[in-house]
Amino acid sequence: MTPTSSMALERGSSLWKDAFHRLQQNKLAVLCLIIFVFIAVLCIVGPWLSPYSESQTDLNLKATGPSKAHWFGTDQLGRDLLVRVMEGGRISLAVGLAATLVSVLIGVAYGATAGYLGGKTDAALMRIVDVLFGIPFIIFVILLRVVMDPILHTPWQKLMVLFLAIGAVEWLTMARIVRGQVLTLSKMEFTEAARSLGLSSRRIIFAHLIPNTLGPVIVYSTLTVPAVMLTEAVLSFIGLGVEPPQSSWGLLIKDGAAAMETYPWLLVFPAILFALSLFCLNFAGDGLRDALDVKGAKD
Amino acid sequence: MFRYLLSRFLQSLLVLWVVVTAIFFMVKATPGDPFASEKAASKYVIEQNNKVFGLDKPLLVQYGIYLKNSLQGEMGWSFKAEGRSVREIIAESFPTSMRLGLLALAIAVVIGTPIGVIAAVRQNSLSDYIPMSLAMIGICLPTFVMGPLLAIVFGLKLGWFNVAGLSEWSDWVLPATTMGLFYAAYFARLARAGMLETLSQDFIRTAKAKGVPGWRIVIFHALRGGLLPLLSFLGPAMAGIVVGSFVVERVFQIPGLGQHFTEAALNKDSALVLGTAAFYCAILVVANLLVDVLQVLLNPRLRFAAS
Amino acid sequence: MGFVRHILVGLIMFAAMACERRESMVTQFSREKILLKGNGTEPRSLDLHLIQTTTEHHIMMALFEGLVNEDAADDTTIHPGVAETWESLDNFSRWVFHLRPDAKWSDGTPLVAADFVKSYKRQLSPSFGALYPEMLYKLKNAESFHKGETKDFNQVGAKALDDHTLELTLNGPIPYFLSVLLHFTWFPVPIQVIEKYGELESRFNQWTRPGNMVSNGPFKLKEWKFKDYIETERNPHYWDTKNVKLNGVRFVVVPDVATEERLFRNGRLHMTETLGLDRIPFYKENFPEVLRVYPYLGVYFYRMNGTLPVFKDVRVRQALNLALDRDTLVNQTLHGTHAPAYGLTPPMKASYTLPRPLTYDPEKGRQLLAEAGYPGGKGLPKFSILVNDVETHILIAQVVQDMWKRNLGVDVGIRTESSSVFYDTQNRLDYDIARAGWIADFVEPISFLDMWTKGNQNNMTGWENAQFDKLIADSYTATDPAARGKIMEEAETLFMNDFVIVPIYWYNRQILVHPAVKGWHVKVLDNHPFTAMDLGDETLPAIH
Repeated sequence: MTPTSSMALERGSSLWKDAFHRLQQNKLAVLCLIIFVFIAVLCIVGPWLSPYSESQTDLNLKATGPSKAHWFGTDQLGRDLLVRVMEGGRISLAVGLAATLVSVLIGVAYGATAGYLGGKTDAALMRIVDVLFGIPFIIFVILLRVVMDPILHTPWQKLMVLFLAIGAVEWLTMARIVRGQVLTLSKMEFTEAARSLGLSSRRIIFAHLIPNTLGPVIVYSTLTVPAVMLTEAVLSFIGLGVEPPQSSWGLLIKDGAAAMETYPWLLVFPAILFALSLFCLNFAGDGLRDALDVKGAKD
Repeated sequence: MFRYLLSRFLQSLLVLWVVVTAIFFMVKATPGDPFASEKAASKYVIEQNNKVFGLDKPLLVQYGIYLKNSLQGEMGWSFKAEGRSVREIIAESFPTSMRLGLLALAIAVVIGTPIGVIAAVRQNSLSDYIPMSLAMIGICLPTFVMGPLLAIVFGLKLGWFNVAGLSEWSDWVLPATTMGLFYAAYFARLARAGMLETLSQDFIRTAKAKGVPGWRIVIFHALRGGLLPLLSFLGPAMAGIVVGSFVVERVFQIPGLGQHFTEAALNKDSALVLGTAAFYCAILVVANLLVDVLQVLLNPRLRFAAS
Repeated sequence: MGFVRHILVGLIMFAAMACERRESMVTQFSREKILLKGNGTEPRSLDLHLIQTTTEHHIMMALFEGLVNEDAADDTTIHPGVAETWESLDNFSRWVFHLRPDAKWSDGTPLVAADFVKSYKRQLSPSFGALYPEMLYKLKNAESFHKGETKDFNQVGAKALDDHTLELTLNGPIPYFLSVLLHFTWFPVPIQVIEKYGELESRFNQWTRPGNMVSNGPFKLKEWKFKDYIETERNPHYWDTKNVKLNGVRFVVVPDVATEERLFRNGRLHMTETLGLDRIPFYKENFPEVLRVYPYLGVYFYRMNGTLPVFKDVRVRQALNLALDRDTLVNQTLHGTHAPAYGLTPPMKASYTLPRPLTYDPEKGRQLLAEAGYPGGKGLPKFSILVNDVETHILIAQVVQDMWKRNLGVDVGIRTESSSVFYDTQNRLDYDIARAGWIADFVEPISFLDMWTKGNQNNMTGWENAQFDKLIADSYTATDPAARGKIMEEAETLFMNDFVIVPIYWYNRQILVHPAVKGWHVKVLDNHPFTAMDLGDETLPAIH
């Protein structure tokens, strides 16, 4: 084989293509992915098919357990829980995925830069992270609400601010993790080699270092999703986020937990959907991580 | 190493100063009134209280006074808990939170790490899936669900523990478990990811080829690198866990530090916000420093870079 | 395997230990006659002059005693306290109290009339910043002294004629002054002790700490664990200590409602401070013997911001009132725990006929809204209900939102804010519609009415009416209860016919009380003297 053809081969079966192939073979991961997509589709399409709406009350009915008319039962205002869980899922999944994406993008780029450049730059960048860690979240949020109040009119605007607020705080740990990984990787032979070949720092960071940190990044991202969803509930509760009667999984679980002995279904159904989708997301994430792990797969 | 530590120490002071300054002005910019309640106080009462606490002075003067006092170790007085200094509140509530936090951390480490390591070694087998699924419970059930659930099941139904309070040693079990299970999930997943990464590296394969027994490889060779992501997470996590959790303290009626972070911010109790945040920040800086030192010690390729 | 066996043995031993559980905390405390009372959030202070809320008042009732005392069962009956006898002079505008000679502080020093005078001075001092000084404004010149206009405290209507005679001169006649005196702001503080631990008017004084604190009530401070509990013990120097049956009261700080209920079931509380809405049907059905639901003199309502153009039109305000189905809201959503409010003042005394101008009439509401130029809600500027971040408030707001949408076609938003921000926003009139609650300080309609005068800090609606203000002023000088009642009725009718607020319900309180608790009676101000209470040996049924 000539050197050129070997390179072409390497390129042809790229990291991603290999990964996709390996992912397909991981049955659990594929199953989890399917369930997750199913839940997402259910949340998006379901409310249109339901005879009830999220805000439609039946005050005389009050909270009732699951029945033929209301599969998931009803809440204290006689609202259909199924449609509320589906509507809430839209919010939670959107916020969970979008804010996590924001945090991953910032965190990875930031952490990799700090870890690769090292020295004074690293110290400065990481001390900035320390400062941001030190600022109390609630103060940040209350202030954000004041600043954003003039533009907080439509639900869409509120949602955007939510992405921003959560993304802005959730990237910090991610940055630390990536930096730790890159710090180690940048001392390894292949980085030295790339550097001696005269590759630019940016190229080394984005083409060589970051792909090698993807494992922990994927795993931590899947851990970020539930954190984001619960943060959303806290923010909404103090007035920055979704507005009642709109709800989200986090809020539904919070309300359900407060009445868990009296109306257990108010906790059980949202919690099951919440847990199931996180469960699937995490196993799918693990599968993706394993699939991307080139060296491990060759064993 | 000494130069490195000295440099980090100086950096930490800088971080603390920036944090305190930022929070000082942020708190002042938030709306709300610490003396407001359902029955509105008259403007005279509010004016008088502002005067008592020096809130009528220009902002920069207040800032100067605050800095001067904190250099002397005085962190001011709470607006909501009359006659209690911020220093006293922290000194009184931190030991409880720290004990609870360390217990929770121990639970998280003892449960989470082995699950993650075993799962990585036995990748894609039942010993991977089942423990990892169990580890997920801590994330899927947030503390405000897990706490009351444990209290109802083990406190009311089984009668093994008291439902809340901290009057006997067994009272620590439920709150520490609630907190610990949450972190255990993180530990397990990060340990698994890190271990898999390391187990696939060349030196491990070399060791395997040389016939070193499997468990020896794991313990003596792989763990060091494999726990790296976990270590990075441990810095912020440790700081967060020892200062306590609002939810756990509420559910189990624990007089810890965690509730003050949330309550002070919501009440606009500015001295307490600043004091607790600075305290948290100091712990965080120390924890991160510890982690960074450990990272270097565990990885011979790295060296302490004094900057 | 040895290791595993050890763990197993340990677990079995632990389970065995857990099964033969010792007696519950409540049983032990009942025997020692120490009441375990859930008391909500941590009190701001134990200094009488630095508190505001009712939960703090309850602690004060254990630690201190005023000139007169509460009755165990009736809100309007007054018993002697530090004052043995008294007389009212000059048509109820001057009162002379004869203090009992054996009144003492808990350190044994005598309690004298000058202690009251100095306490009131401290509370009214402008440099101190006491949090509820308005209660003392009934004293002559008290308001101007507090606002710094009068410098000499001798001008204020509080004088010690001798060690055991106290004279209080009021701004005008107040026939019901004795019930006013039940409020903690009128209790004395131990001046000599406060001065021992710092300056009298310092906010950082440490006199309320265990070991330092001295009080004059049936109990004295034993232990104060911050954010945990406050325990009081018998005060042997209390003049009537032989009739006090309890040996102490422990006030447990438990801000979480669900936690409090679990503590009660777990046998760790004799009484709770409240009970979660969702638990009420459960207790009503299964354990009615431990549930107490009783009227509480207060009203839950929504303010409408009268400074906004949309709420300047009385037809809009009336329409919103007419479109609210209070019966359904209270009986269904709130499980009948409160009483639907069709007026402002809750039922309180026979001598006062209550104006009840409100009805549920959505048809008329729609009509009025159309007349105002908003047929079917069209063209109405979008407004929202502002609530603080408490589940029940958010729940009720959603019901109101739903009813206005259904009955009037009006789309209303809901805005949530954390409490300290919320009160501030309301104060600055930066809201459209805002939730509010008002609890009376004493059993008189004026407690609900004088807040609506122009410039009152609790008005917060921008509403003003010169005739109303005059009626309130007139009521201060009317000494005949019937005549005063008439004036109040007129004022309330005037206010309610303007539909400035949307009353929603009159409060009830819901609490759990252990069967061992004796001498606890229903009272509309919810102030229960601990001197009347006792603990028996009854046990709690297992609540599952």
